[in-house]
Amino acid sequence: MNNRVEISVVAPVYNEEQVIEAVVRNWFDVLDRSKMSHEVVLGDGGSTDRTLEILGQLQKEYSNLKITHAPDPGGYGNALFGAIYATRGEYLVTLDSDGQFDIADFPAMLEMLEKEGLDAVTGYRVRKKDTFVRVFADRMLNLTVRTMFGLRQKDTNCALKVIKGDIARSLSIEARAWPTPTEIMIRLRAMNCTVGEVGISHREREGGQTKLRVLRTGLEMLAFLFYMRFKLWLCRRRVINGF
Amino acid sequence: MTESVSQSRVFLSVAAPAYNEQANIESVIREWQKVLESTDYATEIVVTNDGSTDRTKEILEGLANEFLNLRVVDSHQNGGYGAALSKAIKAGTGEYVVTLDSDGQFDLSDYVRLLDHCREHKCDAVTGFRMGKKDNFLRVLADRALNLIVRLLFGVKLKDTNCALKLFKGELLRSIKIEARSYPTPTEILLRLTERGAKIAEVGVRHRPRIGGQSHLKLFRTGFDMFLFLVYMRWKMFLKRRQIISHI
Repeated sequence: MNNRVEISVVAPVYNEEQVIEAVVRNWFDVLDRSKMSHEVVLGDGGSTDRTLEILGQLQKEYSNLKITHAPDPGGYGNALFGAIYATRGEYLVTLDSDGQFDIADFPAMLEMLEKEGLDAVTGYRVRKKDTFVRVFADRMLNLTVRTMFGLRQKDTNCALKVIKGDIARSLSIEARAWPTPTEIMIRLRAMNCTVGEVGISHREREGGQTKLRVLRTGLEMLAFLFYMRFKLWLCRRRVINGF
Repeated sequence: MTESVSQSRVFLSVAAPAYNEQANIESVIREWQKVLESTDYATEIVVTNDGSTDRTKEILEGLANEFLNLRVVDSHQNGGYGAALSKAIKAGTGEYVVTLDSDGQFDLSDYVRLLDHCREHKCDAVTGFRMGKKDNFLRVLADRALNLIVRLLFGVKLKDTNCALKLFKGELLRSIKIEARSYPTPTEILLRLTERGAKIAEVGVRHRPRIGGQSHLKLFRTGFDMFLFLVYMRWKMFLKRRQIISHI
């Protein structure tokens, strides 16, 4: 029996009982049609609603659906990476599990990765359906990240990314929640990985609740980015070992 | 007879880094062995050779052939005091671990004071404070400044956080990550333990002047880097308390 897994789809999940079934079924539809061997690994952050029950039922139908547990509500980064460490795929597709991203975008990203011999491809959201405040916040974030780290991507905090499996599994993430996708980009750059970007579609949330409060998030993100920059400097100055 | 001696429970591990100490290392290790021989529990010494460019490695390997309880860990390149000490700690298995420098400035037999205090007061760690410090003036000054800053930034009220001679419960110490490359390491260990809520005591220990070799310390670079490192630790603690990062 061929045990090789080409694609692992990974996402954190927290209290998404309203959408999770539709989302997971959609992922498997797209993956089946791609004809690549695949698995889906979801990292549960301690859901208190019916999410786990629903996932348990889905596992009976889909044998290559795995769930990892990182009970820590608000711990997006932990939940995501708990799932990442449990993957076996040659390539990882990371995204959110709330239905805002379209998994059908991944083949184009994978194609770019293979064609240009890159280590990772990140999506950039072609903004149409989000509030002005969030668009503004993302623009400010990009400017900051570009200035501090020289990252040239348009949308570092976009959750939809395709990364070589071995590289993703070698990362270790410090951010607990929102900064995680950006932290991934910072660390990939620190490792001299080559990264491309592809425009992707982004849907308005299908039911469920939005859990972001923009201003507080912005300040926390800034505090985290300064920390990363400082840490990078200390590592280069040989005050600390390792970044 | 398949029972492996190395699997038997070690009560006390001595962990130390060594970098270019060919002048001292043999006499230091022999002195430690004498101290440990007089105990009735299983002990081990783990020394990391941190990419020494002199004969330290050869001397250590020779000693390891002579003393069965001496293990030498080889860092393939110079990773700094912190990384070397961390390797020595993690390679040990002792229920208690004593850390110290391998330059002969500490008297290992002082560990008994630390161990007794630890068991009597049910502590997780006991740090030494150097009595009658026998270092050059600048080094003493640096350590005083360090203590002041540590007290201000962290509220930690120990007399000599950067004293290398300390005793810890083994499991606890082995679970601590060490990031500092060199000088701040003993202080870093204490700060991380404090963050975990460990109970830490301090006991006076003796300190001798360095006999052979030389200290690898450059004051201002070290002082500033130390300050940067403390700011880094403080910032991590702030981010952790605000739940922006997961661990320090």
